[in-house]
Amino acid sequence: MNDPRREMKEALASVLPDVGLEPGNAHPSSDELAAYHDGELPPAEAARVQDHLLLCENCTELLLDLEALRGDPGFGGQRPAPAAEIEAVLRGLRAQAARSAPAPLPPTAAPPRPRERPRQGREARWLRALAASLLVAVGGLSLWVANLRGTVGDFSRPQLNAPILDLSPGGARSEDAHPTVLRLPRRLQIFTLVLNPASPQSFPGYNVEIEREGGGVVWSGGGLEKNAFGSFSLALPRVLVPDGAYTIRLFGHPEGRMRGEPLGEYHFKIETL
Amino acid sequence: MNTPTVRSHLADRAAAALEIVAEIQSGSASEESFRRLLGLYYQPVHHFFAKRGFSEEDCLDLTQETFLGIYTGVQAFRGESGFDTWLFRIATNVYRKRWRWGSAEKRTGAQVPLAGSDEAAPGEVIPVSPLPAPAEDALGRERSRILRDEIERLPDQMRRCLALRVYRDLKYREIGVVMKLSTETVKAHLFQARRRLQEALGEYFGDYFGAAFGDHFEVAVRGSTEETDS
Repeated sequence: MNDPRREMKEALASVLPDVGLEPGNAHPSSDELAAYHDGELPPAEAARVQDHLLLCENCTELLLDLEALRGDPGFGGQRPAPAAEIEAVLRGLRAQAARSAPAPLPPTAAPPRPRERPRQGREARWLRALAASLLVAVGGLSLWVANLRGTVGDFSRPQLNAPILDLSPGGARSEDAHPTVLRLPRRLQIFTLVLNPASPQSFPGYNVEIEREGGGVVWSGGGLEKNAFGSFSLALPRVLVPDGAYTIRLFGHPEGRMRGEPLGEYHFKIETL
Repeated sequence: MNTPTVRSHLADRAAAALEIVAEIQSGSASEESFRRLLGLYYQPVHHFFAKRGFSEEDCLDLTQETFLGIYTGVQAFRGESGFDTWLFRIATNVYRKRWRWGSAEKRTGAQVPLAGSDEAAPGEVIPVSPLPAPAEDALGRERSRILRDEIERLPDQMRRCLALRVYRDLKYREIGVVMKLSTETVKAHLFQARRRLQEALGEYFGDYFGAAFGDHFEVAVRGSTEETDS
């Protein structure tokens, strides 16, 4: 009638330390797990982590993975990483570098350098590179400020009769023609698009990507908020989207995910009157 | 497993990673530097997520997020803990962030349980074990009490090894990692635990402990030094 292994498990369960795994009883942090692995925790902390590990399968698996990462070259296989996937990660890094770069990530590879170089030569080269970068940055900044002055001047007065285009995925609400054509006066500086998502599903964040036909992505970014009508307003300056055909892709961003859920693809064409 | 060649390979990888990190920190890194780093660690990081049951698409996302974490946090890396440990911390944080998000999504009912869940679908019949007869039940309770008392008498470390072996089904080597003991010490603890329980309870339990400890344990008792329970 008895299953010895099960009976033994039940007996052990009743004598194991009561660490509790319910929500609210924190798992050791990744730092604590790593420190426990390396024997760097004070005895009382190490005992607490070990008590937790006795019952927590998840944390045990993490600890064993750290051990494998540091001690088993077969962890993850011996095959080289797929080139396409490496490229995908690098694309993400480039995008990150473009947004907020803590360290520059030049698009092209630096030429190979000898492993041993005189320290002074390296420093001089580094200083020259820094000076050149500063010069370029100052020049670019001046041009940008000059351009901004003109733009602010244009935006300092009302944009009379600025059009609003109500877009649904694939085309416009008002007409079935595809793509929707937006004819704008020459002096108009800004116009507004209303993006109606294909799905009513809500996400913690949203972003859009604007792609010019045959010209790549002209802008992408987040910070959109759904309005009371379940749609999104996007004001676009003409300088960003000159005449041409465009596709806007709207994504819902689940928390903690790099990749968003597509919510709609909007095609339109801009022409100057 | 951890032969000198293996150790050398891992040490080379870690040294190469540190060299790349130093390049990035000094601002002399190029995309090629990151490509080399990805070449060294893409597969282990991807495997870290894949073995946790994420889809291929999610694994790519999470792997990318881990390397983004390296990129954005690289200036703060001081090298005190080694690159592998730092990478582990970032990957674990990425995993836990996703895990919390997944849990939250489950709470809102956005995910459905996987097939094979213990819960029955609506209208499905749930098989129920027949209740034991009262006398049988009392005997069972008595056996459990005796067993529990004897387990409690075992030294703490021995009892913990026993728990990880029987309760958690870990291998000797894995128990060693959790307990911070050598594999040989783990085997010795388990051998002693079984001997003590057999001596104290053999009268009541007969050949109970062979099955309770599992077949793998038999090999260890006979003195094999091989890890047989892979």
